[in-house]
Amino acid sequence: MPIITNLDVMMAKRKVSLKELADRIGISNTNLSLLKTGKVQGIRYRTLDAICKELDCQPGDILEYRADDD
Amino acid sequence: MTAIWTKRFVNTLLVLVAIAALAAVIQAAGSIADGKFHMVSYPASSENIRMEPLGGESAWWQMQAGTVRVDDHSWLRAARLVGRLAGLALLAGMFWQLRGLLVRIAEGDVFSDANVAALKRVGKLLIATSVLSISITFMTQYAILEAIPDMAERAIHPSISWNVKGVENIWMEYTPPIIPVLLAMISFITAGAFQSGKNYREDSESVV
Repeated sequence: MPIITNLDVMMAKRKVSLKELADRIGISNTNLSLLKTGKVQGIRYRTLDAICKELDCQPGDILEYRADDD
Repeated sequence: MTAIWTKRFVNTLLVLVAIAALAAVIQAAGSIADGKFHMVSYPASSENIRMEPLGGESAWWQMQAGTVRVDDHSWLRAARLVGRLAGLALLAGMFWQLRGLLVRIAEGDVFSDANVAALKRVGKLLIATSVLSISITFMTQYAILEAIPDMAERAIHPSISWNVKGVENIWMEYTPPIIPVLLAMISFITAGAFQSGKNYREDSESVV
């Protein structure tokens, strides 16, 4: 999929662990891990809002469009 | 209904189908033993109603329906027996698919690939049963018509045919399998709905 999740980069910049962020935004570690590795079909605005609030960033810092090479 | 009772119910239906198949074979064996296996009879009804008084003018014995019978058609009798057994096998296959489907639903597994496939198979088996029924009837009626010599006062017709004027018209009876075809359509539509439900469930499960 050409949508890349850069959540791990933002978490590293803000020095936040997966468990800590999951606790703060109120979703399970498993779901946050799936989101971080790009294994989800979608993300709710509510989740995106909470992540941006906690990491003090924009949605574009977390999600990136990268066109397929073919 | 729990999964166990669902299984028991459909198992009973499967046993009834097996009994019907056994009865057909026993009946055929009885006919062979009696030397009557070469006879083929088929329900028919006349446009004329023969009436006989039953002890006066206020009660009547009305005769309209009966059977046409041709002899020396062992091959047709055997073909009809094979067709009947094949129809029962298709029915058993349909009940087997239904058994799996109902048990999975009773266990809470509703929108899954297995249920979609089972519903499609039920639809296909219903269509196959209908085609088989029409084919066997078509073959039987035309074989009987071939065997009956021309008559001046009577005309024997297949189920779909125009009447002939000036003679007694007798039609061989057949009810087309409209309900199985409708059920097959419902099965295919339900399979589509289950597929949509499965897609929706998968989508909603992988949205965080």
